[in-house]
Amino acid sequence: MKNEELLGYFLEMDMFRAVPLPVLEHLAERSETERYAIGTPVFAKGEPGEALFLILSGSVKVHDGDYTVTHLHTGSCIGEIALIDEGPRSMSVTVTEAGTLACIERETFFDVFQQHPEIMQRMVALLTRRLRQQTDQLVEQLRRREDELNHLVHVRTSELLQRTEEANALRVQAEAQMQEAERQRQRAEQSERAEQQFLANMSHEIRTPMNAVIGMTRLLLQKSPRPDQLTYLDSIRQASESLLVILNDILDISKIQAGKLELEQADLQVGAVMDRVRSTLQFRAEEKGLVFRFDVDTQLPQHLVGDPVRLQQVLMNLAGNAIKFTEKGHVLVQATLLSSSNNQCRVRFSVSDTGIGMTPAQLQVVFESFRQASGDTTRKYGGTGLGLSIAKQLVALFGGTLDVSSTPGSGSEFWFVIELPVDPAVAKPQELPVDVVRHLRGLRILVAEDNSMNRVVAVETLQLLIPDVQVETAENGREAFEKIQSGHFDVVLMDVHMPELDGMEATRFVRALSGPVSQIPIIAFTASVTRKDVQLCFDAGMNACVPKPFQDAELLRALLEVTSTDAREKDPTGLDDLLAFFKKQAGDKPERIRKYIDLYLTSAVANLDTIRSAQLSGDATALHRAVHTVKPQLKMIGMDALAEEAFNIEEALKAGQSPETLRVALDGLVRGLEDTTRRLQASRIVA
Amino acid sequence: MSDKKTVFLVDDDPFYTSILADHLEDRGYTVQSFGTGEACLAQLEEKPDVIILDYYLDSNVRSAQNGLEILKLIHKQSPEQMVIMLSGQEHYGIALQTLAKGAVQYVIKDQEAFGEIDKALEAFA
Repeated sequence: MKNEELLGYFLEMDMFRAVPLPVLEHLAERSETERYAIGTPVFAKGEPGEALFLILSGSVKVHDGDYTVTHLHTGSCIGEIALIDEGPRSMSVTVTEAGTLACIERETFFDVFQQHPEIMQRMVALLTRRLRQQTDQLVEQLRRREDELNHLVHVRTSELLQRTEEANALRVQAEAQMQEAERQRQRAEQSERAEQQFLANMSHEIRTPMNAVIGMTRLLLQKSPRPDQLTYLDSIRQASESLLVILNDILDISKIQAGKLELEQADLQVGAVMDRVRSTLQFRAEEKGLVFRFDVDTQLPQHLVGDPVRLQQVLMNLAGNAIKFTEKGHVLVQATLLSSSNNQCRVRFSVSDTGIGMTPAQLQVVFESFRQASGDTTRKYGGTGLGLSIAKQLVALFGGTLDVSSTPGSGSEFWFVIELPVDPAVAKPQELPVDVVRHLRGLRILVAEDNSMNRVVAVETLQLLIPDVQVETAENGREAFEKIQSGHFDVVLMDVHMPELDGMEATRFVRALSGPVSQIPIIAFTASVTRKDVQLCFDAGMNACVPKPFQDAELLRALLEVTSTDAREKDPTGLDDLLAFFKKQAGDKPERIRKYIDLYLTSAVANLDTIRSAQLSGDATALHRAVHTVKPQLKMIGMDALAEEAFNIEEALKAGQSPETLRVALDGLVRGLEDTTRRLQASRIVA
Repeated sequence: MSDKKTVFLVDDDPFYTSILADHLEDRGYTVQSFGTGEACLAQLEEKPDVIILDYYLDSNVRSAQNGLEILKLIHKQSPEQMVIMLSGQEHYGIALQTLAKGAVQYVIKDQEAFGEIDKALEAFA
């Protein structure tokens, strides 16, 4: 730049105000100007400060690295501090807008302004002002920076909080889902239990009234009904037995469909199962003139392990169907041993017939529930159509598959193959003692049963079966418990399911009592006799289990079982019972007892002789008279069972039966009489 | 004549008769026992208050008539005579017949018999 131009700039500058022209001319002569492009450094921090710069045009930034402190523009002075303290540059300066800068060396500057100290003052004032500005700006920037940072922190914190909340929300949701899953699992378990309970209740609810109907009908049939009543009762019996079959089918299919039916593992004798099927269905086959044959493989072990009831159910259904649908020819039931290894037997069961057979279309639907081969079949042959479906599912539970082949007009064969383990231990069946009822005479029984119909059936049956029995009843476990405590009973028959206090709970309470009454024998009545349920009864302290509806023989056997030792211990010869009546009639004259025993013995011995000789000679009349005489005597001395036998013989003789045919019964009677006579004779020696 | 009631016991079983006689005598009755119906008929004019008559009278003595026949004969001779029938069996047909022929009660020879007899005697004698 020419001096004049530079001078021109100097004259404009605030810093040089009122400086005499010649000084400025001198300064202009001694100064350099240079053009700077954008981005060019003027000087860098730390460099020694040798010169002062004046911005004639353009802009610069004063900065430390990336950090810009301020911008300076045309007319500003840069680097004057270095002039003053001769130190290194404290900042860097870089051009931000291209322009021209004048550079004045220190020496030059001091030389020229030596004579003008107020310029120095002015420069210091300018410098100070600039420093103040810079400080203000710095503070301002710091403050802004702080605000920014605060804001950033705030934002980050908010974000963090939000993320945390979201995470929490997710966790809560996950927990809720786990709880829901748990609830659903519990609900499923509950509904499973409810279903089982429902099936058990339904079973109980259905069987209880059926039990009552069948039981009552049986009792009525034994009370010598009139001929017209007999017809009606027979109809009721048949209808209710059919109904029971159908109900059992329906209950079975419900249980199977709910997956609740389990097979028992018990002693399974194929021969015995076949026998039962044969004896049940035999007359039906004979009625139709069919040949009904059973073949059991001789190689088949006698005792296997499985569920004999269900196997019988399957075979009964198949054989029953075969008989139903066969008009001529035969029905053949076979059990064949296919192979055996490792204590397992593979057995093939088949039922084949020469019946009406089935078409391929009928074969397809034969195993479906509620479907029979055709609607006509149902009308003509009857049935619910459930049987085969149940049979198929039962066979599946056994591990086999029920299959069929058939030719219309020729016949059908149903078969299945199952594996059954061999039973290592073979249980001997219990022998029923000959004169069971004699031992039970005079028993004092408490029947605890909530259902009034079942109560009546139980009480009447006991009274029918056992002479001199004393029966009382209780309607629930609590009442039973109270009555038992009175100590008036020899044995308790307890229904397992009762309101207020069920049978098992009541038993536990009784067993917890002190004294001999806690040991009273308790027999459970239960609709369910799976091993599990029987074990529960025994665990509660019960002595025996009788399934409902009960068979008379089973009830008697159970009563005998639980009371036998008792009866023996109390009165080994039973003499007390024999003499009871005599003692009562003797009243306050004990010498009469001797008289009565003598009279009885005289009569009894004479009667025994007559009976024996009449048996030998075949004299029915004499036999009849002797037996007739003996009967009321036996009744008087309390031998009711023997008296019953005598009555039966008497009736048979009167109906025309010969003494020979009654030999077994007569032998029994004679034995009983001899026994009684012996005991009474023995008592004469003692008394 | 004492005011004790008299009872004729007609039964061919001495064992039974003995016990029943004791029983009745304890209760204040005068008892006469007969082994056959014929023997009882022979003393009918003593006019007992009650006759207790067993149905089966021909067990021991073959020629004796049975209780039903005796009952008819008793009432032929003495229409208002009170008779209680005794029998070893529950036989409704016979019971009906005896009641039709004029017996006032039919008692079965079992352990309740004596109680039944007492009741009948109180009612009818």
